[in-house]
Amino acid sequence: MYISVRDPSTPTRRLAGRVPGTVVVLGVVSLLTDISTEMVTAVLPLFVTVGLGLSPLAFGVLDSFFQAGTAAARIAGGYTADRLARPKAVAVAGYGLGMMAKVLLLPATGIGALSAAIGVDRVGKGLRTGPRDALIAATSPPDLLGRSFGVHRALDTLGALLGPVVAFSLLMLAPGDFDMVFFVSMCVAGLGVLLLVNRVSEPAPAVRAHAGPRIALRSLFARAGFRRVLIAAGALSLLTVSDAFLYLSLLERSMVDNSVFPLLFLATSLVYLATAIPIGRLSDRYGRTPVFLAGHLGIILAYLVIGLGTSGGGAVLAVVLLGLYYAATDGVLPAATAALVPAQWRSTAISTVQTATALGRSAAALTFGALWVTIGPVPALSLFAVGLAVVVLSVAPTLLRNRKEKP
Amino acid sequence: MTTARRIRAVSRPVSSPRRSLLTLVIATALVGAAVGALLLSIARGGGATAASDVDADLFRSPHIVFRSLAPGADHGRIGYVAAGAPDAPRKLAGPRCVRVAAAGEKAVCLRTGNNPVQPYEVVRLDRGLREVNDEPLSGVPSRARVAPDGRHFATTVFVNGHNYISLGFSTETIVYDADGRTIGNLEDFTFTVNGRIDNSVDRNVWGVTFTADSRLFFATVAASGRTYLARGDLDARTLTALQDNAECPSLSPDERTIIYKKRVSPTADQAWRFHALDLTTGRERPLAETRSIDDQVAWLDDEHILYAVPNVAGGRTSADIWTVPLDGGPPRLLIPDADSPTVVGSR
Repeated sequence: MYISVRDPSTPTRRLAGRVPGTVVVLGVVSLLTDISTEMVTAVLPLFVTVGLGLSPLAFGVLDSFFQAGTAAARIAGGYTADRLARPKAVAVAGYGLGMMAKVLLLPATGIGALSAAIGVDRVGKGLRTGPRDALIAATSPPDLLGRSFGVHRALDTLGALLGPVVAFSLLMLAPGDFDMVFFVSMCVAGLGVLLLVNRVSEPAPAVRAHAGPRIALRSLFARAGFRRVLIAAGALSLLTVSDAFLYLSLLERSMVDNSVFPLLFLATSLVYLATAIPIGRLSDRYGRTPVFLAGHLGIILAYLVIGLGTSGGGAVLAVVLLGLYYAATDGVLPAATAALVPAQWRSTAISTVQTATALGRSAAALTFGALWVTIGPVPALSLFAVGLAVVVLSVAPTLLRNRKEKP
Repeated sequence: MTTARRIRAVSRPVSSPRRSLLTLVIATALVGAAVGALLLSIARGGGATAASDVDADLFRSPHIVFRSLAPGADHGRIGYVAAGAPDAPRKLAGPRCVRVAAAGEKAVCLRTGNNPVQPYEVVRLDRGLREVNDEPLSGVPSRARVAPDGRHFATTVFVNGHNYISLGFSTETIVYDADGRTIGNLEDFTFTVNGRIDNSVDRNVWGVTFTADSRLFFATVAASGRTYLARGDLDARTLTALQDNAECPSLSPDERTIIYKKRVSPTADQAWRFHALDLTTGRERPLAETRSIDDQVAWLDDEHILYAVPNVAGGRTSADIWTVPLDGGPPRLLIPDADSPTVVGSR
């Protein structure tokens, strides 16, 4: 029944411990797509204010509106991929919409057209995430899942880092030509879609035919292991302070100054990039749950360092801890989820957990923002640190039980 | 074993020679299109007019300095015309900018620089509109103003949280001295509303306009969900709220009138209307310009203001500079394909 988790393209040539080629291909697809998307994201505020003469304040409001849409698309993407047993097809649709969004940007001259393009982009992102992660899980041997996700996330993060560099380099060569930047971004997205279409295949349908009777969706949610992961991930995310707030706290505490501020995101991403693969390997060896929980201990420490720290050294430590947190959670969570659920419902399961996490983080951002305004950053951070520690301690015993149970 | 073989047969990536060729063709076309678009754009941008000496009387007689948006190689460069002959062909000088402001024999240009991590910068220009030095900005350029005496200048940028978890936009307004040294971030100034100090943490300041001696200034302060017109003092480092619902103030050369945009509707379409506040009588009245315009106006003289109106007709994003008199007369198009106007040499 779990034959399909072997990488179909290189089943015999696979060297012990090597990540399947398809995972690398999916990583490169994400790299290209992230370059494309982050190129646009980086120059959009300038385009809106200077190119279109609009206030970016009106534009910021749209963001929260689209979050709900992304959540719905994510669930729909995961479910459709599983129902049709075609995760690749849904992923192609999602990446295709991402490319489509850049096409829509080209004639955009008003807030309406701009919102449509951003909306299409977010729906595409929502649709593709679950099926894409399910493809990674389907092509990777179970004992390499953590490392496979680590490789994918490292490439993904690299793309996100390169995007703004590419965009501003293009603007340097051709000042003010936003349309050219959008066009190049569209071509890069197109390369990603092309690579996905041609170098990744659907998990073998022959296997599906032999996979026995279809398992009801209900039974996915009836699985204790999956429910535990879902509830734990949701609860933990409710107390996860967004990195934007952590960076602002560092600024507020004078642990960094304005000139360093833009480097914080870069530094966090570099730590994530550098540690995603080794931490993925650790999760394969010592279990995904312990690594996932350790990541949360890392971010609790980061809260404390920011809350109690005074120096630039504290800021460096906080950024390292934040990068480690992402490396220990972002790819490890879908790896843990994939190992717990039947292959038939993998996309749905991964999408559901990711949606719960995303919604939890949105709620956390609102709560933290309100606390920041009313009681200040340091008490707010302390509260979140204590709260998160309580949640980690309460979910740890049940979550760790998953290691002993096989799905 | 048969199952395993069948899996391999069915699931191998499709790689027939014809399909490989098609893929190669499409990939080459995409790369070619991207490179072609870049080269075309560079070619169109090449051949910009060489930076020449500006007219010696630029700062001595009234001139309108603006950002030229005429299509072609000089798009975004600083342009100027004599205030008395706005229809005459524009002269171009200096670097490309996204915002420009001039006064007191000085100019500043806000633009994208060479550092992708901190991509925006403010460049100081001398009376020949030559670059003197630059300082990084922490966000997307929004407003710039030079004090009439040239001793100070101010920039406003939009700072955004990183895209992954957006905090929404906030502004940062910095006042500098003539040598580009930071005098202060106006968010750190003591802000007073109705005699009480307001310490709200969500405070934002934008849109500075200086008085003649440039120690006093006006700006917009947003705090606790309201926007105020505030008077500032660089020495005392204070901001004092004068009235609410007034954004992007601009003080007339005779210092008797302030024009600001007043929010008249919660909808985005018709959000603002320019209003004039008479500082001697305290009376406020709307101007004849009824379009909702998001700009900080400049004064052509004591009776006329200038502002940019976005113009996105014909699939091209541009803007035009318009003028409207204070006496209730209709608005009039003054300089097409230009924005970011300020007036120099009028005193």
